[in-house]
Amino acid sequence: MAEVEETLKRIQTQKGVVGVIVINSEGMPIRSTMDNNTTVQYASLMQQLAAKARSAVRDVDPQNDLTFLRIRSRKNEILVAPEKDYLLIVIQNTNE
Amino acid sequence: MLQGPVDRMTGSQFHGLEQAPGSNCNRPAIVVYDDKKRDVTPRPLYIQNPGDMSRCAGHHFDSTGTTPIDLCTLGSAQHTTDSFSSSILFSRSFRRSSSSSSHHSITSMITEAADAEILQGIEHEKQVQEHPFLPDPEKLVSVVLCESETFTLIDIPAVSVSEQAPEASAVCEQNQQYIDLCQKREGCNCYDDGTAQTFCHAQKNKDVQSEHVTTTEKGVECTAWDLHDSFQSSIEKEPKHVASHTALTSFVLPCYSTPGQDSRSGIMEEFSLENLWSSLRMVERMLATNELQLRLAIYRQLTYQPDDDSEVKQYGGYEVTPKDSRSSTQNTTNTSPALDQLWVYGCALTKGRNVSCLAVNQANKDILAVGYGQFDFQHKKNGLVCCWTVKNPTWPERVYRCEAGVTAIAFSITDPNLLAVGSHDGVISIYNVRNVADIPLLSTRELPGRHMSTIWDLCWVDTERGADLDRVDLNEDLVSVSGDGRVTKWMILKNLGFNGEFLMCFSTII
Repeated sequence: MAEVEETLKRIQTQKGVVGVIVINSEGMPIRSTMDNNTTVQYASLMQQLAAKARSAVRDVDPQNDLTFLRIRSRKNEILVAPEKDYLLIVIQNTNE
Repeated sequence: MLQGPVDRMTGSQFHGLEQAPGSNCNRPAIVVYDDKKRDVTPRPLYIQNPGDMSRCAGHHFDSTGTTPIDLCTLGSAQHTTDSFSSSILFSRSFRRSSSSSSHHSITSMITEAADAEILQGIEHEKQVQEHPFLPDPEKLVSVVLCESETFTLIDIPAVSVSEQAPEASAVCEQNQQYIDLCQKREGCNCYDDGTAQTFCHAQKNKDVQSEHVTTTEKGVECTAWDLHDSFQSSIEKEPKHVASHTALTSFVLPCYSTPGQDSRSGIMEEFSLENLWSSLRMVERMLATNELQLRLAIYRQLTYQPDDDSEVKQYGGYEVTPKDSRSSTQNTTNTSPALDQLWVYGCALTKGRNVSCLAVNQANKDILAVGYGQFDFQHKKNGLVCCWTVKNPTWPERVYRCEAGVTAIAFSITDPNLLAVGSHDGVISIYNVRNVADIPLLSTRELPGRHMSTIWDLCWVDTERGADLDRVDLNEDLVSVSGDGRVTKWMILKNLGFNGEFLMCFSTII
């Protein structure tokens, strides 16, 4: 328990990290470091995208599965770690 | 036989009949009269001609061949005298019944004649037997199968006239007259509207109540992998041990804490830790590598292509241009040989500690094991072993705390997950770096033959191919040099024990 907390804190203090969101399988944010509106927005968008990506990967080969999803944009990079019972989203600012 | 007017359609007679002739003698003579004293006794569908009764009695469906077919043919022969359509309500084409009516339809006559011929043709192999009830077993038996008679219930032939026929014009005129009549009917005075009242019986309302039918809708999106998953689960059919797993490793996180506010109110969620922690560590590495991208590229000697939007253009003496980044010789700022620092492995844990030894993992060159321990023996401080990775210089992947300062460290070559650690108090521990826990796999702490003084160096050496069956199938032994002047070779046994073998001794203690 303490390790998870510790790791979460370290991630937040990493260089360029804008926010960390953990959402459960129903899409409810469990843990977030950002304001409500942004959290909810990211949660719903990323959940849909991760589901679509996973579906795409598995359609090609059903024995394959999605392990990680990274979306790189001009201003940010969004890292999405999909798991069975939760979704971890980290947003990092790539420019100094 | 009674004769009387025959209704063309129904073939029934409306005169009272006391006993329907041809009816079975066994049957009681039930006669039914309607209101007007008319006999409306239901008649059997098939009535035998009384003239045939004597023959019929002996006829059975057996070998003799005097089958019911005979009956029919006889009947047809006698048709002229028969006026018996009354017995059958609807059938006219039945051979006997249609005979008397004066209005034979052409088709029914033809059918009759044809049938009669066919039947006669079949009849040619017959033998009349006196006693049909006792068949002679030696005689040949021929059985003739035929189909039963066809009952035609209604026969209204279509009447159509060819245009070239002589009566064509007459028929056309008739048709036209009819059409005109229909059209004129609307406003014509020849027709009077008449009303008829039907009985409107008293109505009775009846209510029925039923249970509310609950309906549910269910939609499923079917994809290829969905089918694959269901197939796999049906094959395996293993019970899921989800509950027990989560009970051990679950914990409660506060729901959605805003920055600067650690609110523990709200919905508490429990979920498994293991996956979350590994995901978090992976994410941490990714974040660090994002930062380190240029330096990592230099370390790995890869060409670095920065994004158009990234602002990292220069690192130390290296000028990063979009086309060429490997510019180690194009040192623009400095002409004398110098080293540019790429990154520093350090964190809060290791701050102020003295690095005493290093080891690089042979299997995965990214992993560096660092032992922290004091060479200064006045200060007794806990030792620390950290496994750092190139991908994350901000925090070590593994942290193992030791009781005494670490003085020697070595990775096994054949078994790259084994890390041997020698400490200041002479204890050698072997850690399995796959485990995160602080507990060493093996330790010489309790062993009688352990070293008494600081371990100065550790080395994994290849074993000689001995036939010792107690040994674990490990190709390496650990050799340690200690401050008590002994060089010892350690072997790992099958029951995870350690066995020390004394190798040599030094005369002077260093």
